[in-house]
Amino acid sequence: MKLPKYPLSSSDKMMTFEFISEGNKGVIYKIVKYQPTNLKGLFNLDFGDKDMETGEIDDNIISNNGDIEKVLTTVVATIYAFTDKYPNSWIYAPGITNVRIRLYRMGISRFLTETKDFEVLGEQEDDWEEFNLNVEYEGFLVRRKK
Amino acid sequence: MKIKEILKDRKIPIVTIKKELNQYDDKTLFPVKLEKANEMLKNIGLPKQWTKAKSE
Repeated sequence: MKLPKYPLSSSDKMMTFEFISEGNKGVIYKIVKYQPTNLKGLFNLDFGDKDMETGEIDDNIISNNGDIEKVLTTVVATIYAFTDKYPNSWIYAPGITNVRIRLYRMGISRFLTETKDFEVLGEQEDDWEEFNLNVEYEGFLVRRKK
Repeated sequence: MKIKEILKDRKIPIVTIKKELNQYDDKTLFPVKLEKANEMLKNIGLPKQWTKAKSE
């Protein structure tokens, strides 16, 4: 992707990523985590802020650091890195709050306009459908095209 | 093309390995979201659009 993004660090297995958001509120450490679900090969994607004093990760915090687009682009970049290492994996991103749903939609729509490398489905009313930018979904499922 | 431009155009990002992050790999950092994912799998299941193609 040609959009600006933050440099990424990851664990050896590339299940956990970290980057540093730099904005109007200063420096915020972000953690992106791919958690295995009950189904082999399907991972849950989520991200949050790392508290540098306690080491705890908060995924409900709204940072308002003024760099949301760059943050989302960086989160999307982790999908590239993750699916490069695990090409057959499917990634589920649940939108628990309206804010998070909107964030994911923004990220995914941008991501789809930038690349044709992924397939994306939206979760709505207990079913899956092709991702449509104008629809409010409860979650998203992403996989790398073969 | 300058190296900076080549790096900017890369789709797959350059990732630095940071050993400290290994501690998070086996931890469930976001239990609510994971529960939601497992609940979705139980209730909705996988998309027919993809599983059908997989089994063919």
